[in-house]
Amino acid sequence: MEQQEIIILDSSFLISLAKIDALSLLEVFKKKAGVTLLAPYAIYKECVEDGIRGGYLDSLAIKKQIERGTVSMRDVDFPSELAVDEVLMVSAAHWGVKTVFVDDQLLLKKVARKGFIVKRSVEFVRDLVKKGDLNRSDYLKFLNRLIKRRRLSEDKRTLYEEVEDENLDYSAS
Amino acid sequence: MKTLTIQLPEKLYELLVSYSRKRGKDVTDALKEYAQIMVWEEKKEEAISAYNEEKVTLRELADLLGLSYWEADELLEKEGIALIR
Repeated sequence: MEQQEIIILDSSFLISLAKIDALSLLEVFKKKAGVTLLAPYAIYKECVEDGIRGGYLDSLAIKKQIERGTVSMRDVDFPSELAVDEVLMVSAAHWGVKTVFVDDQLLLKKVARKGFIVKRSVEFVRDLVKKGDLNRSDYLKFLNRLIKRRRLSEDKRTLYEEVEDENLDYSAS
Repeated sequence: MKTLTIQLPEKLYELLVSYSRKRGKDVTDALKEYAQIMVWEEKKEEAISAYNEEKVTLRELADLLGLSYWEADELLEKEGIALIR
């Protein structure tokens, strides 16, 4: 049996989806694409444990997705001095991951420079429209929320209102 | 603890007394609190500027300011800085 493709999710991506109430789209994507969505334990700790401790309600929504099995959590025995940004990239390499979902601008570029395919929350949601898994009207609602919650710059609204067009070069600095 | 003796203009001293009364603190504690706020604001501005210039990631920004990832994320939102630009 062929092994499912693994996609690693960064906290920035998970928090974006939580803040726009779009975490359920991960389940739709997972089922359709037949992929494994994975968060290294360091990401889980940051997103869920630290979030709950800090009283961030969105962290509970992320925890729910992990408990439902939409996102799996996995740990690897890395040196404890590794920063979470590094854990993310080392985990991706260790697990033979091709794609990383990340919203943090600089981290995204670093990940892309390592040769991984990167996708941001806005592109993740837009791709669901392209594949017919989300209607355009709902997509525009999510787009508005991304802008309102400062996950996406207002300057990019026009670019993303168009559902066509890909080929953005993330690795360019 | 270091001891610092400073001379303040009369008006600034009065403002400081008024500030301390509002907070129910003595003048020394109010001055300490104010200094901490100033230092924090300076540090925050520097860190946000580094983030804006893509010199640090969100996690590094959090580390620089001694915040959790969520707190740093919330700070950027409050400051009106978009994650995806």
